[in-house]
Amino acid sequence: SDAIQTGSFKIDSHRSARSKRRRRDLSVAKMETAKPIGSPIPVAIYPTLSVFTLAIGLVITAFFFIYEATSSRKNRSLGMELASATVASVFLGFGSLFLLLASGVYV
Amino acid sequence: MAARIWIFSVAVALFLSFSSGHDLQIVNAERRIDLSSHIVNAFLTLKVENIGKDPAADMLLAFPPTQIKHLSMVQAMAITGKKKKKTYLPLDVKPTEQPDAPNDTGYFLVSFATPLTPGETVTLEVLYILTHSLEPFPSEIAQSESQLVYYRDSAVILSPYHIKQQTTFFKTPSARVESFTSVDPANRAGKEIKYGPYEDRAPYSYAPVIVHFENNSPFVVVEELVREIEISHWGSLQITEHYRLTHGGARHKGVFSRVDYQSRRSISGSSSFNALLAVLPPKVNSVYYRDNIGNISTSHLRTGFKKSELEFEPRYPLFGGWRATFIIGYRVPLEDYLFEAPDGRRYLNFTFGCPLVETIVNKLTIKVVLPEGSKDPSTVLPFTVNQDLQVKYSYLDIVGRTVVVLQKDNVVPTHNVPFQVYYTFKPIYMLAEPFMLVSAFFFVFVASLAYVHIDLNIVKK
Repeated sequence: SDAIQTGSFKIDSHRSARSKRRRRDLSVAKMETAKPIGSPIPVAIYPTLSVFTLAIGLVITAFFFIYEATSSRKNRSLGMELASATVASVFLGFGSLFLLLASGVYV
Repeated sequence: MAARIWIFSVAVALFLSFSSGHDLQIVNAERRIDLSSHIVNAFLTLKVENIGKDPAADMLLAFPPTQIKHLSMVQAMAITGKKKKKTYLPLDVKPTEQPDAPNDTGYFLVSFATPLTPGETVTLEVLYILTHSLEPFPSEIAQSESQLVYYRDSAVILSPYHIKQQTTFFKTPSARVESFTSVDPANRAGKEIKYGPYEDRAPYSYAPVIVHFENNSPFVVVEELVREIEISHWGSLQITEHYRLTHGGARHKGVFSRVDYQSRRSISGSSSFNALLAVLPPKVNSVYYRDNIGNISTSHLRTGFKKSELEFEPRYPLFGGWRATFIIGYRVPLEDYLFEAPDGRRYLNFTFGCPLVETIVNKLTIKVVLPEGSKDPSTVLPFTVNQDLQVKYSYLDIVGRTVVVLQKDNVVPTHNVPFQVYYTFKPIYMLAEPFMLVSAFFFVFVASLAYVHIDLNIVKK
């Protein structure tokens, strides 16, 4: 049971302020040696990131549907369709994930 | 004949070796019991001397059976050094059973840092906390009456050792003490009742006393608290707390007059409370306070650097026996609480206990919800709790999230110490959630592709 403070033991009040500060500094130093884990992407840019990825995703979705509508059966290329579908779904998927995170639903 | 004598002497020797109480002696004992709030704090300073021939590695602390049930925490420290240069060394304390306990006495075993050599003395400071030990008498009071309680204890410290000199002090919250049992020499000075000094008391001596005094401090008792800590690796820790709160003092009888309560607040409802204080972590955001009806707006949040304070009021003031149920939730950033251990595992470092100040929690359940894909959970706690594992299904879950459930009874604010929950997690599992969303959108595109490509004409053009 190292470095686990046993709570607010009232005897602490008998100690001098200087030794209390020393003890607090020691526990802060111990905490700094442990590596904190955060989100891989900074939380502050979630809203911006969601707007941009969703915008790009919607643009490519628009391209996909326009391609479907304007091309005829003969000069339709399956590769083009699948490629744009994949890219659009990737952007839309990540965009909706960041949208969920930005609105507070931390999935 | 000789065999019988031999068996008898072996039996006596065995008896003496089992009862490990007879080679220690308490030279001086001073006990200060603080009765200011409904949580009774008792500080025991013992000067223990080894009068036997063998070194003593530990000693026993005895408690009467009525106190053992309500004992929430026992801590011991060894004091070395003098006035300004005192050092305090925490000692290991465990509950133990003794085979020859008189009258169902309960024991705690305190292990010394170094075994006490014969002739040596050591000074120990023991803190023990009792809950539900103040019995309201009268048990039912009207709105304008003050709350009076009984505290039952012994003027002489119960101990398996001989105590040469001892004194007990009781500190009451106000100068109004209706009565106290007189065990010579006992006297009262203002808020302090002094029993002692008593000389040369035999082991297991007990002198029951009752102190009947006024205690109007808020008797906030949380009957049940469920705290859910949800870890999300995308950057936040969401804590949701479900409270079932009650006033644990003298029950309210008669009517509740709002006019009296508001006009003569100092006399009316002196033992009731309407404001509660919760101490939250420093960088807290999105705090909500609501109950089954909806949001409760009577709250104030003050954020700070070391801690945040949420001062909130239930929908009505609480008198004896009244209940309030509510939910408090808040969010804290993940990097303050989740760390990486040297062996590669991740651990959550959070504070145990209840954030409300000066409250007793009868039944506390802490659920730590680990993200999907976490394996091998384990906990590190400074005291014993009941542990369990559950599964919770939440947003974008396939196999569910592992929940570590910690359950403890009789929790006091001294239990607010950090604890750790370790688990292994491969960062690649974080991509499972966006992958699920990507595949959902891709399915929509493939469906529209299929619709465009499928030729449903009966007649070929």
